[in-house]
Amino acid sequence: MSNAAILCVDDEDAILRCLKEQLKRCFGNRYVYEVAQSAEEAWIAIDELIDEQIKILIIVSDWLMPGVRGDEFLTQVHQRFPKIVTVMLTGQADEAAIERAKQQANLYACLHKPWTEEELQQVIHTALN
Amino acid sequence: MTSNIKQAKNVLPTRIFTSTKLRLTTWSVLLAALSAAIASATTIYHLNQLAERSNNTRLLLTQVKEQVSRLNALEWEGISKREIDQDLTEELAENRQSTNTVLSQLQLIDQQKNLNNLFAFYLRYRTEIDGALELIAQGKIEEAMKVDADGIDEIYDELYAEVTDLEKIYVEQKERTRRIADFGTTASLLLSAAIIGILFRQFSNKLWVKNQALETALQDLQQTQSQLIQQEKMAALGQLIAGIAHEINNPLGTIKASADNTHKALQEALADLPHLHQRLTPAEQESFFKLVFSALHSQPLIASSESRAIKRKLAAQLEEHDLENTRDTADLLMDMGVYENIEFLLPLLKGEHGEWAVQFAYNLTCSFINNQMILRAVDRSSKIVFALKSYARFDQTGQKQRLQVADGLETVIEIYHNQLKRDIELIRDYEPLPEIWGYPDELIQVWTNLIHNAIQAMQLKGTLTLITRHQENGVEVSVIDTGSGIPLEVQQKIFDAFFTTKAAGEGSGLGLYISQKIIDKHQGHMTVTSQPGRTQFSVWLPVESI
Repeated sequence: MSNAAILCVDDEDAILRCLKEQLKRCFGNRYVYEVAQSAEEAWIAIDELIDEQIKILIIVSDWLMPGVRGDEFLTQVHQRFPKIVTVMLTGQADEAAIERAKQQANLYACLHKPWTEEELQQVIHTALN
Repeated sequence: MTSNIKQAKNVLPTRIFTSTKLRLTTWSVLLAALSAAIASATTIYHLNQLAERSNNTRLLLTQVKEQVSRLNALEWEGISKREIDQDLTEELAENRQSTNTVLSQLQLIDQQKNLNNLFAFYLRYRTEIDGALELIAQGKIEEAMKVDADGIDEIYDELYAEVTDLEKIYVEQKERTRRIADFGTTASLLLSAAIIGILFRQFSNKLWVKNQALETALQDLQQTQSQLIQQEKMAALGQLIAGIAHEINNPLGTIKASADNTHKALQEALADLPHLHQRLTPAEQESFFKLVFSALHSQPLIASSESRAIKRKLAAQLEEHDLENTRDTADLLMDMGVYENIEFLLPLLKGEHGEWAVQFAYNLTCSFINNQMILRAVDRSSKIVFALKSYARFDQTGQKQRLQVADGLETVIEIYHNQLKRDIELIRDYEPLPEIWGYPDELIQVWTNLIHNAIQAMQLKGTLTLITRHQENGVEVSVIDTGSGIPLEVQQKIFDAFFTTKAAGEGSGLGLYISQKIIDKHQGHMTVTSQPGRTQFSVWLPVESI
């Protein structure tokens, strides 16, 4: 059983389903794929994964979400878990937020919606190697 | 806009400089005029004094003439009587004294020594006549008679003539001086009139220049104002476009990824299809088709703590049956929406190709779910595009149209969907309303403003209530938020142009100002009531307006 996870955070369920399916098709059963609809829920999922002794490798987060926004969430993640690779997926390019995430969350990459499967897979692939 | 301000800054010092120059000229003219006025007043004063002195001299000379002739008469009286009695003596003494007084006054006045001749004549006359009178007093009548009476008369005549001449001269002098003084006064008046005229011209010139400058400034302001109003419209649109980019890119992302996923799933499923009969026993096949059937008729759960708990429970359940990779299998089943009463799956899962079969079933059915997602995403995009079309429609005719206010409200709600969908509860309390005559795009701007402000006031969390009512031959739209409220002192200013409580650069301070203008144009009115936790903006619009 895999003990490494990729977590996706987006306020739209459809986006989460698509992301998960694409990642699964690419990486199969090598990882556990978890999704959350807000930063708040993501923290719960993170804690659950830690409880299950599953290591989180990458978090892919949307930027414009109700409540805590993507850059802020990834910054908090980076403070608590500096080893987790952070990736942002955004439908609205807010340059200031991306810059902030680069500075404070050590953002690895930023994908723009609509993204392509290749882009996503390449980013995750290079990030994990 | 910025360049306008810069220009204005450049223009301003020049204007100040010009006006300083103008002021300098005016001051120097004023100073010169004042000096001229003082000088002419002094001159006129002196001239008047001179005239006065001439007049005094003339009056004194007249007195002298009278005194002298009186004296002459008295003395001749004495001489002809050949005696000088007591009365005559007293009268003579008195007369001489007053003559002397008048003469000494004349001497005081006569600074140019014009009267020397007069004094000399008088002295000669006095000497002669005194001599004669002395002789009479001494009783030397004979001797007195010898005195040259004609000579004395001659002297007297000369004295008299001198006095008369002088009198004439002083009268002339006085008149001449008066004339000069009058001329001076007239000239001064004319000069004053001229100076006042010049100053008036200068002042009115300055006023005219200032007026022109003010008119230009007013025109600049009006232009700037309309630019700002346009900018506010564009800023509101810009904000919306940023939100809409997100709104449209999300469904686009879903459509693209779902289509890709369907494609891949079908490819894999088609490749797996021939193996179905070889790999699965009839019992397993039955279980397999049941799985496919339930997947097609189920709704997968939305990701949440609960769904993860169900997944863990499912994995644990599978583990009880000594299955492997239970977590991955449970995850797939969850994605298919199959997580309850899974006993029918056990034959399939316990078989040799259990995991392969679940993946195969997933590939067969996921295109169904993906297609549903694609359809929803397309609906969503169409709604946004429709809302945008309604929002961005600029009425070319400039004519009022019949409209339903609720349509405009719905357009705005659609555009603000991404900000409203999670932490803001939206309550629509609509009443059937008559259509009103109005400008649809402008009213949408009002609703946008009120709804945007409400969302901002609640900091994206709370309840937004929209109420429409048919009232007093009009319609009333209320937008109510549960934000922190507007303090009373702020309430008085919110409709002012450029008033904003937002940080610099965030709000233009024109939103409510423009909304008010639009409502005025519709002959409606807007009211606000606010307390912490409840702020209500109500807009009343007439059904028919001119």
